[in-house]
Amino acid sequence: MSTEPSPPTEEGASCPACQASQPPRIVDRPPLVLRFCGRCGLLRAAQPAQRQHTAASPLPVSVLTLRPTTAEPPAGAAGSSPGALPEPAPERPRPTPPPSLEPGFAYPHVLLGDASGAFRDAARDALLVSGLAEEVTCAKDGAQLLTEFTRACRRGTTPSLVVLDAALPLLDGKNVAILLRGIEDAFALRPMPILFYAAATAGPSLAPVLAYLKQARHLPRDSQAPPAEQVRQLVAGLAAPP
Amino acid sequence: MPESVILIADPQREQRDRLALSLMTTGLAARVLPSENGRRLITEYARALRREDSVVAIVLEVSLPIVGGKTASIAMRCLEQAFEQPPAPILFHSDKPEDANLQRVMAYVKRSRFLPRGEALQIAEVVQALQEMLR
Repeated sequence: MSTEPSPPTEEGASCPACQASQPPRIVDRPPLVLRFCGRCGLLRAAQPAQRQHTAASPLPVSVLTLRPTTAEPPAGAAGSSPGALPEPAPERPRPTPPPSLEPGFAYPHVLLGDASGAFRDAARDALLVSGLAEEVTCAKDGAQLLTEFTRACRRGTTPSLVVLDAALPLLDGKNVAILLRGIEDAFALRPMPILFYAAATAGPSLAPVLAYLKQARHLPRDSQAPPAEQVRQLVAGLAAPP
Repeated sequence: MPESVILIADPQREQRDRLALSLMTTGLAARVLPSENGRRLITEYARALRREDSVVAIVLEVSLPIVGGKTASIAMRCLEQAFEQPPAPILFHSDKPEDANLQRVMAYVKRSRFLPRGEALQIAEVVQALQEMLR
């Protein structure tokens, strides 16, 4: 016996952290819908339902917390199961919304290369939610990044920004960036901006590569910080002028 | 039918020219695309794939400037994947012995062979190695 699927609704209209009802939408530009909970400070993106979803394929919802990471970690956060949301603290300072929430995205297509899956996922969500990117393609190593870049060039959807770590597996970030320039030459493309989001200690070895590449810069990364903090710093660094 | 193309990458111009001439006179390639460094090799290979050239082989020096031969060979496999093309045979050559790193790269890129040489490239050996690879 089959059951009729229920009509599509926006999943999680209430705040998943503090259960406050209906946090207001601060961006309402489908497929990007951004809700900000003034009670607990959770900024979250939720795509409104555009087709029937079932329990087996739930509506994709990504959550990004923009609370300052210097605050005390919420009780029970350590060792909590994946996907569990931290308990809200009642008197947290209200976070500053990301700087680029106006209509119009800064980068239509960002290609992101990083070995850490947790960082890639969080960074992709943050770039989309902050409005800095309209589309984000992720690569787990240098070879995949080159393949994805070439595919995008063939499709005519060349990335408008590449963000990569200097220490990528298989092909390191410096070589990858130089090879990207070589592929741009083959497609007669102008050099796109390249951002190395790499440890500050990588600076001296990156300097000659940056000079060679042009349209490239290094954003120092605190590799010891948790992924969420690294992502926050990336978004802040991208939003700020070089 | 597209004409057969071989890419060669070598920092020494004289060596490139001699090899290109031999490859064409022996009929292994109708056209040779030379490169002096690894970045240029990737540009030439991507252009060839865009033109839908029939690339039959790539001959490259392991120690290329800007981007080394080992890195370039992995990048060429990325291009082939993006263009949905089968891997072309790669012939590495060097005056240094084959090391463990090169062996790992060759295991990754597959369809490759290493040709040890002295200071100068022995053109006849390259031609023979290519003929064996393409047989």
